Amino acid sequence: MNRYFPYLLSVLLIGCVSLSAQKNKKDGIDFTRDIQPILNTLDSEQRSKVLDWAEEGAPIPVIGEHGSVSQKSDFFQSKVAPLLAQQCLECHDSTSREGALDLSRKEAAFLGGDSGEAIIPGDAEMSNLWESVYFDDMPEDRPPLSQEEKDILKDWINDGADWTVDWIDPAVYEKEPTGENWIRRLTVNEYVETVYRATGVDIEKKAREFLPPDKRADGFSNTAYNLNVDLGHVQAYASLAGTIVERMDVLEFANRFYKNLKFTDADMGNLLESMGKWLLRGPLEKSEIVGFRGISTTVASAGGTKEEAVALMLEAMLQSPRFIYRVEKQSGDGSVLPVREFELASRLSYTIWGGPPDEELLKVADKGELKYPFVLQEQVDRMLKDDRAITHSSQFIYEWLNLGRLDNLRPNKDKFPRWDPALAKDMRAETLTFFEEIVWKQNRPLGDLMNAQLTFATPELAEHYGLITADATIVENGMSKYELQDNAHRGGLLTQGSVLTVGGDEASMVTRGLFVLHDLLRGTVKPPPPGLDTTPVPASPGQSNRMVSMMRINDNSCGGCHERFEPLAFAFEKFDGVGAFHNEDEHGNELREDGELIVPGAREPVSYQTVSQLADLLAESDRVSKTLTWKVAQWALGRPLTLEDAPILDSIHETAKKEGGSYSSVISSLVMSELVQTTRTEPSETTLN
Amino acid sequence: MLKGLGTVAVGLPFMEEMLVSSATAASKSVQVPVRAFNVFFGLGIPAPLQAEGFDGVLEPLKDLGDKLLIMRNVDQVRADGTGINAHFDGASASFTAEAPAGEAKSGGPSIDQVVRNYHYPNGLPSGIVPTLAGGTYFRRSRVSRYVHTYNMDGTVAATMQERPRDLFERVFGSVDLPEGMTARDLHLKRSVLDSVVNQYKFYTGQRSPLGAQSKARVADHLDRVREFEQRAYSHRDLNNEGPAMPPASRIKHGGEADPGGEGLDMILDDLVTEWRLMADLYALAIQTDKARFGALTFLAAGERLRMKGDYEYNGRKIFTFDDAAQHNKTGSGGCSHEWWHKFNEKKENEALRAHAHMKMREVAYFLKRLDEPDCVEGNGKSILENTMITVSTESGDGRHSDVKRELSGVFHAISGANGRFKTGQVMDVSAEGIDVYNSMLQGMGIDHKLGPADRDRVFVDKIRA
Repeated sequence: MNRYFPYLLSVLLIGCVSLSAQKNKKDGIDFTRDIQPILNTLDSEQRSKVLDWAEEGAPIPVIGEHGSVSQKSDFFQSKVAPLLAQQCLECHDSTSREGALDLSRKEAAFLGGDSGEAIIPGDAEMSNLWESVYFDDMPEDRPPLSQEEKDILKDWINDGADWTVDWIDPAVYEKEPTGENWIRRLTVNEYVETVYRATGVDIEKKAREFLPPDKRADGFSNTAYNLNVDLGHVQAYASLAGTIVERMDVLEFANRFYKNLKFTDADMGNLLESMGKWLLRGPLEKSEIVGFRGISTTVASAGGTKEEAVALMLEAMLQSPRFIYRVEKQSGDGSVLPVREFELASRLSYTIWGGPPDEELLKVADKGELKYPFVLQEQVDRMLKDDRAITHSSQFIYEWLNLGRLDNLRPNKDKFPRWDPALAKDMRAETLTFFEEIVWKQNRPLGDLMNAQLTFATPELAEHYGLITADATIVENGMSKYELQDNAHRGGLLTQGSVLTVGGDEASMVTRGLFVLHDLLRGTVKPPPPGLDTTPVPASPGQSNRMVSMMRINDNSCGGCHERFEPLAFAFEKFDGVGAFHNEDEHGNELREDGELIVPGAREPVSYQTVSQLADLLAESDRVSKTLTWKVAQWALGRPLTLEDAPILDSIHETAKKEGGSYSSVISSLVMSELVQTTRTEPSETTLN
Repeated sequence: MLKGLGTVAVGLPFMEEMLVSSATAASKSVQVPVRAFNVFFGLGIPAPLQAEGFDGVLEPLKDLGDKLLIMRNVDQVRADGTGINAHFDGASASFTAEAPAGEAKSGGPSIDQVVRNYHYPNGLPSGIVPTLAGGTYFRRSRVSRYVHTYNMDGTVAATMQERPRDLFERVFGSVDLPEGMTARDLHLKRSVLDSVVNQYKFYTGQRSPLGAQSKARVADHLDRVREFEQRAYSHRDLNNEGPAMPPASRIKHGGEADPGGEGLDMILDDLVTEWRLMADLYALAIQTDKARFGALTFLAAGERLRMKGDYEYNGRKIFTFDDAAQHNKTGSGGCSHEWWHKFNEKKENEALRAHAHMKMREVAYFLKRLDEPDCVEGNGKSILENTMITVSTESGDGRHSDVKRELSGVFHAISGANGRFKTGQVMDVSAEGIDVYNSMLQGMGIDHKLGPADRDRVFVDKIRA
């Protein structure tokens, strides 16, 4: 029997069911109606194989590139490419090409540069690349390669210099895979939402007062490795659990799960089974039920009431690791396995809603149907239509742009005497409202955040920006919507105060350029080598910020790197440190907005004349939209992304693009991917006991 | 007992019985507990100034000279990572000898945690804060600027307490249970906690479905639950006898203290008042055996303050701080940080010297708090003498012009750890920080190697007593 037979059958089955689902779109997929008839067309052996395959979690066999990765290819991708990315491409990529050598692409690399052939397969001794690192001539002005790194290059060249990727993208190699798999504690936001959805109690005010705030790490405050716990958390969880239960009608709540509750062990056990599955987002083990039931026994022996018993059991559940954390099975044999049904339900709901699964999702998980891609997709589509998805997505833009930073904006009073701290809050509200409009109300591609011709502002912010009130339509919360088609300077995220203020009081070209490079283009640039005076030179009469920037770019020591990112900020020179627009700076220097966009990996820069042209270029750039996919994925997964994730992210991005490139399509593609649906288990012997 | 600074003295009365030194003094058979603390100060002392010994900026440590081993030429170059300067790398290397492994992660554990892990593999005795991290600092763009205690997996070992009141609550706070709670109520609440403890135990046990990192995280949580349990239910009768809540902080903290790295105006007296209260409370935590491991930070790595005020030492005026005016700049350019950038060993470096001298005065303030008569323990030595205390900083040169120079000659001083290490010397160790730390661990009887697996340990025997 062909080993792919079940796979082929599954493809057939999924295809048939998808067609059937299309026909019955209005009603969704019904197993009996849609799937059973297809199963009935198969013989018993075929049916049994498909059902077995489904029982195993419906794994799609991975064939092709992953299955045929050679040792040589693996060596290049895991050893050589990261080394070239980290040590060589700063000066020898498609943009810099110092010495006419481009080591980021196969064809160019083998072509060599001014000094001749860089790589001669099979002969390291004759290859300029090896010679230059062997004698420590390269990297120039950087520490030499270690002996281990030199050996990698030598072995690779002598072994035939097998080059297996089209382009070495340095961003892919920025974070090395750690193999770590951290349990995810609920963030403060997730805790608040989980309590509300699970119990109906709004605990936000007290939770924010009591729970220590989550700290940012690697750009987001939900990075799992940094979600640690101190006594303050434990005290808060205990105190909050008490408050939550006080605010509940516990018997009415219990009645949702078990009618006519009596104060007996049997009844309490039955209640716990049902109530626990809801509160703890999956079925309870018998030992867990026994543990919680011990509380009701203690209450009974103390002459308490069943109401008291339920209340205390609820308190215990609200402090349980299964409530505070997203517990998943991580131990195993080291292989990648599908996550279990209820775990997948939680992954879906926390990714899309930032909160727990609802009744319907739990019901589907309980039936074991989430393993079917069409059922999963149906749930994802349903969840993305829920308002919770909108609310949760605002956390993404808040985190990505670090909008909390605006609380601490303190511009120099002498330089900005008219600054009102309330403007910082308005700027944040502008960005959040704008995001919701583009992403949800208009369901546009994420790239459109760069150039959408509208914004939202309070009257004060509108005045600060110089917007024309006549263009405004009142929205809500003191905000008005401004159409910006006729505004040559504003339009898109990058012309909003929340982003422009990253440059500090001096509207630093360096900081703004690095923001565009890192956060929109996923570009990398090394820090300046030691020994350079990096004290910022302020603008002065006769010398604008742009001119100072050009001095850095034209400097032999600085230009190689600064030309990669400062031109990205040229468009914003007319916006000062607090985002106000001027044609001249405080010294009377005329300001400009033309520049060049250099996309990582591109051979040539693209010129732009105005800020709106740059916005359009960014909006159309696949690199920008892919960066947004990466950012959304990092935030959703709660960990930095690594080389291992890159091919899956490529696939997620392509799928999302076909579906319109919207936030919803990115999320949908992400949760349908193995990044969400599988987990790499740890061999049991390596786990700590 | 608590001196503080006049108006900020921690309130009394306080139960003498809570002092570990009194308790151990009463019984000679009581063993001195194993303790390890890291004391960090920001910006560092340029190596040439360290060479001047107690005649220069190290003068405030002179009184403690016989109880410290001051080490020169400790090299942390291996910790150099990405970044134009070594503030971040050097700060991460302090006490770990490792470069950062992420914005909020070190490449390895700090030495205090290695000692803790070895000597207390099953956790610390009840009533002791597992790890106490605190400090007076303002710059916070990256965690390793101010956190100086890291778990074995490199994650931060404890939440930083940055206000004296926060630290007070962490150490001496009791758990508020509703007023009028009866013994029966307490009994029932206790059953809830028992159930919670059992669940956390399950997830750290052999049948746990979790992997290594997750188990360690949940185990950490379990430690905190047990601590909570102990505070809530074990010593409620002592609550009214503890020190009074310290006054609220008068200076800015949190995000508003670090507006975009632009720096903060600071009056010297305000800074010193806050720090000394923090130092007093931290010392009291050690003295009362509420803390045996952790880290205390006096100013973050790369701290940016525009300091003002007259600086005096022993009645002698040293300098008048007015950084912004002296630099003739506002914002970050007007901060004391810039004196480190401008260091020139051929010049007087008067402002830098004054700032460094002031930092040594304040570090000495904390260390002296552990060396007072009421800190003498059962073996006749003070807590300072009995404890492994490591003082270090981020760089041996602040000019950012040469990584090797910047991360060489990083100031280190250690206490004797109950006779394990030499004291009373200023020693030119000329060794890597990783070798110094491994030698300290060896001195503490610990067979754990910091650093790469394939790197042989090189012991710096001359620091051992």
